[in-house]
Amino acid sequence: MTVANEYATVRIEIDRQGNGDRLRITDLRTGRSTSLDALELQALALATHRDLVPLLDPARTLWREAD
Amino acid sequence: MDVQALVEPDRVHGSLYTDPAVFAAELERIWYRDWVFVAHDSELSEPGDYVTRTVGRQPVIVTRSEDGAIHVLLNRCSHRANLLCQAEKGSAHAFRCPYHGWTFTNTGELVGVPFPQGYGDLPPRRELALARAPRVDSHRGFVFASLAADGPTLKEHLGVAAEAFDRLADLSPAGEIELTAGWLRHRVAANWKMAVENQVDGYHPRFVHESLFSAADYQIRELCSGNAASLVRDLGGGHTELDFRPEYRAVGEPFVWFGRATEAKFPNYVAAMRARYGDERAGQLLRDGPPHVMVFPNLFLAEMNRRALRQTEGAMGPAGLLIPDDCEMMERNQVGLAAQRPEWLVLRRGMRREYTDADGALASNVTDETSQRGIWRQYRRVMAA
Repeated sequence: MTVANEYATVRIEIDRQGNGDRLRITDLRTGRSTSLDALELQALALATHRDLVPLLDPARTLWREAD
Repeated sequence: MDVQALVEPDRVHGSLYTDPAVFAAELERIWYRDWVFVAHDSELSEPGDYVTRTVGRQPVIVTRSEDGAIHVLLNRCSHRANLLCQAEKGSAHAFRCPYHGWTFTNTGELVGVPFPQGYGDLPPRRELALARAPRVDSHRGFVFASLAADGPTLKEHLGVAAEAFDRLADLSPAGEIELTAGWLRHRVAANWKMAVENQVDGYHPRFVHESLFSAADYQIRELCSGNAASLVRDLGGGHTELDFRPEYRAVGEPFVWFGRATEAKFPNYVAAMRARYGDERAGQLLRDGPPHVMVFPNLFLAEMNRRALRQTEGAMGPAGLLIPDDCEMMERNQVGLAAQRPEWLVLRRGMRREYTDADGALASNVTDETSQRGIWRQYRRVMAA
């Protein structure tokens, strides 16, 4: 399924490529994806939105300057 | 600008609807100072929800943060003023400017900027948070914002009109209404004050809406007759009402306002109302029906339920008759105002028969201009302040 708002569009699906199920999230703008296992997803489920704020810093991801 | 000289007790000057300098002053003294309705709680039911609105001409984002609090942020990136949020509504815990990627939380804090090293020892920090309405408050789920740091509280601003919100919300056995159907918007080439005045004008329905009344059975036709017991009331603070309760009370039965339905038609609803409010209050609510109150400057309270939604789809939309007819009148009004003589608009109907009622409101026959005079009295007061 696709989840979108005015800032991003991602596809989410179950990833069965490995030994166990994971959740694959694909950023449809860049095509980049990650597969998250149950423990990582649990961490997200237990996180607050404030905990995730640092990950939203644009300088952490696509718009990072070379060191 | 001497706006006061343009508002007299029984007439107002036409330039108040046409002069750009008057409008500029209204923005500063009314829209950017008073409490302005921005959204209903139910439009932001989940943390992360947001809607975009305007306060006067300023775009704002109304957000609900993780802790449930509502914020009214100015919809302008703190970098180079791009519109941060374009969608009418959505879910986002962070907003990213489409111009240079500056990113903010839904409480307005700056999260980060792309390629920050370019700022050297002057990194964008906390001082570049989004601007926000300094005051946000709500009453019965209706959220208001004031762009002024100081001034009367929302409670003081609403005054007697606060009761109308109770009358509306208490018609729900849950004690709250839900406004999640979205908004039907009309673009009208007329001054904003015409809409305020028209909502509480009981004189026009028998003329403007006669075509609707001839095609469908609309109760408002009789309620706005010069022979009806209905009243127009000036509640103070610019808030005004078409009060149909005297007509309903004369019959003395519930649901006269709902097409004279009987209690047997909604047994579960009536039982739930009695369970929540007790027989006496429930009986009063079901007899008196919803309010018809214009809260200055931009919220009209009327029946809000599934029937009102169906009526909105049928009568209020561009293919309907009710609101489109009102809009047509407002636009013609604006065209008529281009003729500069006579200079004044006459608002003296009912001046000789209005009276102060038991609640302290100024009341008169439903077709009288007591409501318009009340709106203009408040206007004169706030424009002078």
